[in-house]
Amino acid sequence: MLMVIYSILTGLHLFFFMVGAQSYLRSRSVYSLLALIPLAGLAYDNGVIAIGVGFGEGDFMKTLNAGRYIIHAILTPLLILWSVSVAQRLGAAWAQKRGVWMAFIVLTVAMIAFGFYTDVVRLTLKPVQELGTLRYIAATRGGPPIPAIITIFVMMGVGLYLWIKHKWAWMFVGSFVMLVAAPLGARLTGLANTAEVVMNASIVASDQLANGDLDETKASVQKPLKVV
Amino acid sequence: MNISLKSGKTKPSNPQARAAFKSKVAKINRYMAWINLPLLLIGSFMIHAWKDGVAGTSARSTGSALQGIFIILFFIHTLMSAYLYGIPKPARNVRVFHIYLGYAVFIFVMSSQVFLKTEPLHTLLYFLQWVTISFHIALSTRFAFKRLAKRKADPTLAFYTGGKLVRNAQGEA
Repeated sequence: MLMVIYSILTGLHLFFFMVGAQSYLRSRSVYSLLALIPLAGLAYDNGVIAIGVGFGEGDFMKTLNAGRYIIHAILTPLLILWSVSVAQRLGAAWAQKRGVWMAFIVLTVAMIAFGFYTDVVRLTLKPVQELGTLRYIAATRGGPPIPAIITIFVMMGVGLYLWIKHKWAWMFVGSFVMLVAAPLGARLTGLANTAEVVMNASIVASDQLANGDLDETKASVQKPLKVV
Repeated sequence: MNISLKSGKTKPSNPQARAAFKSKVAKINRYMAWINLPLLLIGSFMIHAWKDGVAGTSARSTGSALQGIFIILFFIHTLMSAYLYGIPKPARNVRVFHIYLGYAVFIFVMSSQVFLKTEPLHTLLYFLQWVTISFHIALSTRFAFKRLAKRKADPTLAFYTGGKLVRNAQGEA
């Protein structure tokens, strides 16, 4: 049953990736890529869990699953820089300062390095079968996932700013849902992954807001189809 | 102008009537797809619950019955879509992508059942089936919201030329 759920979640991540990619192609903003790359990573994460049972235990699945941890360690902190870029694109004075950017760049690099050391360098995997799925998880875990937690708190902070200044609550709501669902996910399989979809929806919508895509005057007009 | 058929029914021949007819068929096609979705979800989850040992054999038989209805409606939905949209010219357009995604759903649903006993091909096709279904539904939902927003858009009032303003405004609405 979980295989179907993870497949559906993969499809939804790809959908939000497409919506985000449309926004990127319109704006050509490099900052949008900082959101798109982790989004693609999450589609990979869910996809690998979904197909695991078909391939069974072995080196192939182990390698694919190791990729999930590498993606989480390297790509998730990129959302710190993306959050600041949203504030910058919406004209926040504090986000225009070079010093602020340098501080967040240092924080992002530190979180990537820390996550890479704890989740990738010291990674040992063990197979787990659950409700028709097979995946490899970390055999030993040294404490809470600090980089992911810091990333969510930065997103919540910027989200709160957007809520107050721009009456845009979705970035805060998306990251708050993730903050609540992540620890519960340890007890209820699939909950954290479902919350990731909610967070991604809020990320894509916030990126569209920052790119000015939600402005009605810029709404794209669909062209009629030509049948051959 | 309409051309009479042998059955006594008429087939619209002029472009406007044909477009109106296709628009009606498209509406029925969309409604049918939304009815089909819960049949697929409930049917599949019942069968998986039985496979995982969470539910009994009654879940399996009910799930199979729902999936049987789903397959019939799914075929009709695909045929109607092929009639409505045909093979659109490939383009970087979300609507074209949506149509091809729908055809991909059909291919993956059918092929995943053909290779039922061949692993890991079956799992891969079954995975792609659900990925394309969820993507297709997400896009459909987006289009549905856009249609709804268009329908709910405030009608523009005609320029006031005299008479009672409130009555005229209500008349426009």
